[in-house]
Amino acid sequence: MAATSKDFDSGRVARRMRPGVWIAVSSVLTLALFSLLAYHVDVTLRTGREMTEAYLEGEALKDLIYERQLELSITAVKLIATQQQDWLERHHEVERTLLKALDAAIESPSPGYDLDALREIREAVQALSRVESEAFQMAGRGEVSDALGTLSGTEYTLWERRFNSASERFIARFLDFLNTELEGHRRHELRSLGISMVIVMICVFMWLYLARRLNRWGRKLRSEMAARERLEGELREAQKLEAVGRLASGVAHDFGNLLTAIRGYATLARERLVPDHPARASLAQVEEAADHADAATRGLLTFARRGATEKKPVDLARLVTDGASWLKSVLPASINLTLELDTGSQVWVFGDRGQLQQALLNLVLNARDAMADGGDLRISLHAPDSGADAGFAVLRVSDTGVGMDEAVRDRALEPFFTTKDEGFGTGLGLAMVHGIVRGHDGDMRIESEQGEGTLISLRFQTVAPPEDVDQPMGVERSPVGGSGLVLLAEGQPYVRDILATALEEAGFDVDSRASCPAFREMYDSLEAAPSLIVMDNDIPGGCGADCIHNTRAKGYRGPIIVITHELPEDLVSGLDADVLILRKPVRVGDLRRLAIAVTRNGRGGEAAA
Amino acid sequence: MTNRIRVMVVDDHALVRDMLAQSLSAEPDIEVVAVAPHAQEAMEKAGEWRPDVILMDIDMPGMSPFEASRQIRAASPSVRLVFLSAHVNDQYIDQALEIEASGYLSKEEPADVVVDAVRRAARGATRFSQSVSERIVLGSGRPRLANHGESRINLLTPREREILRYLADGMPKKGIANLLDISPKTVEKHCDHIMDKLDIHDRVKLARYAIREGLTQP
Repeated sequence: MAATSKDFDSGRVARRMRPGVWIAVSSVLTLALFSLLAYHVDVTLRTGREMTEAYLEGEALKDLIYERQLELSITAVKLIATQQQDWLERHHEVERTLLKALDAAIESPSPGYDLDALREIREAVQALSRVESEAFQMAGRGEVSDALGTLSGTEYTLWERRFNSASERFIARFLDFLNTELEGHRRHELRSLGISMVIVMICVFMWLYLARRLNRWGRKLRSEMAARERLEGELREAQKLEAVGRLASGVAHDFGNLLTAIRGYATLARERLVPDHPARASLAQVEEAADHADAATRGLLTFARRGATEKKPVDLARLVTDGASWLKSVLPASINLTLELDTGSQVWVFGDRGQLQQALLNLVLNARDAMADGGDLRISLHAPDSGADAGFAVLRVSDTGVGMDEAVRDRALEPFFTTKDEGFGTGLGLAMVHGIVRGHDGDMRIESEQGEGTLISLRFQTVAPPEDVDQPMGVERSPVGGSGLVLLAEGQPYVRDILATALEEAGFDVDSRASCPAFREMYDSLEAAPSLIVMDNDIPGGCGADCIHNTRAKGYRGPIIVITHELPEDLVSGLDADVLILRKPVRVGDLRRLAIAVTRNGRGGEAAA
Repeated sequence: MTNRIRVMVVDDHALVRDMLAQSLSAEPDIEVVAVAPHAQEAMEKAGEWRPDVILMDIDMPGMSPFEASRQIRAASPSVRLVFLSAHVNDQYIDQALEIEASGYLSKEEPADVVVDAVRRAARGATRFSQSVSERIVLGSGRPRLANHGESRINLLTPREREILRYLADGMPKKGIANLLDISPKTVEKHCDHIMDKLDIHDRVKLARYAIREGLTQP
């Protein structure tokens, strides 16, 4: 199964989080925010307090000005009317107090004071004082009526108006100033509140976003954990299978050795008995039983992936279509077999044809046993160009049988686990399929529900078709059947031995030489023509072309097989149809089959030396 | 009697070893001069008994039979080697071809095939089980296996393969150094090369790889 979870790098996670730094940063930011708020509270309170104080101060000044001016007018009138000196002193004291207050306000004005207005008030007070002094002098001379008339005269009245006007202006501007200040501060605070609200909203949205992300990460993590748990389960299963595989392999190995000994001793014993001895048949039975037992150990080895495998490109589509005929023979009439694959398509995988056939057979037999009352058995093969299975051949075998519950499904790949009745199943079927699939770097998936049938999918990586696709891969023909003499020219002693043995095993008599002169000499000494000449053109000194022409010149018309690495011009020019050139690398098995084929079909040598 | 083929049988299973020895001894032209339970002893006895043919099991614990065979060959070039194995395994076959073995037989073969292989080996010929010879490919160099070039294991030298096998068998590096009579540092260097070539840097995975490639048995 392909792993679906990502590996977590705990160091990277730890490095990414660094909580201390972020806590410090957020603490500083929070502190800054609260400091800003505190600052605004402080400024607001201070401003309010200052404004109140200024207002009171301004009001006090205004009251002082009005009251003192009023008192000045009264004391002036009373002084003129009574001529009592107390009023004069009183008048001067009030005047001094007023002028002192005005001077103080002009010299160190509070914010918002209109200095021009204050100066104008001061000027008016002084002018009024001057007019009052003239009135006092008149009163002193007894001109009381004129004195009182002066205090209600035009000049006095004019200065009183100026005084009132300046005082009102002073107050109005001061109040304006206070209002403007308060309004400015209010606007500033509203702006600050707005900015703070934006920051708070950003924080809220960030937290909401983080909460969503955390939720998503949490879901992902939970899914990762579930996947990891599943993979760990699969790993444990794989380890268990591996352990059982090792055990099976060890048992098969020891058992195989014992069978070799049993078979060998039985053969020895049989050969030592006289031909008609009654025990010979029994010993032959022992040998046969050992052979059967050997087949069982091979099954175990296949499960443990230790069996002989020969991997090469295999057309899985052809394997399935070819297999359909013999698969039908193991199915009862009540089971309907359907093949689902693209007509004429080829699906090439790199594998062992025998093992793949075995896997298919095991799946079909399992499906058959699951459908005791009949049903549909479907075999499909697809090699999609896109999607998750792109680049893979997916072989599916499905049935409409009894299916598996979860407990059975979990143990389905376990060796020796079977739901079949005793004596009807070894429990190695699916385990063997799994072993084969693993041996081909593929994966296997079981989908099944109780009472709803089973679907088993095998997935193998596809490969490019081999160049000689017309040659049915893995279809072995019997090598038995050769006869006659084969002349072999091969320079390498070891290769010569291997070739000679292979040809002898095919039924030929073989005479071999290591060089061209020796080969010619051998050919010249023959009384009858050989059935076949096999020569390696790469013998030091090279002899392919010369030998062909030489033997043909001497009347040999039989087949000649030349194996060669290169294709020199002199070798390929002017050849007749009975000369077959095989480019290296050459399989010994192919050469043996070819030798049999050409000697069976060919005319054979017609002339000897 | 001097023309009888002198054979040494090497197999860790006493039953099989004795059976093979008896089968061969029953032939008039064959004489079993020595038997050995493992490759190390086979190497020692080969020098002592000078057999013509050594019939050697492959699946034996301890020293690799191929390494022992190389050393026997180095000391006695004329000795012929016929391997026997319960497994027809690509790596085994390739190593057998590499040291130009006279035969590689499956243990499923009947006794007379083994006898024939010994006779052929003695006269300089070869005998392979058909399932083996079918897979041999003749090219420009030495005979090889079909599809042999597709495994990364072929990047390893014979010595590295040897060491990988011992590693996979769980042998400590010091033990390997003692067995091969080389320094632990050299073994260390070989291990580094093996891991680099195979791109496997974990000893457990290395062992699994060796088992999968058939260098050793589980």
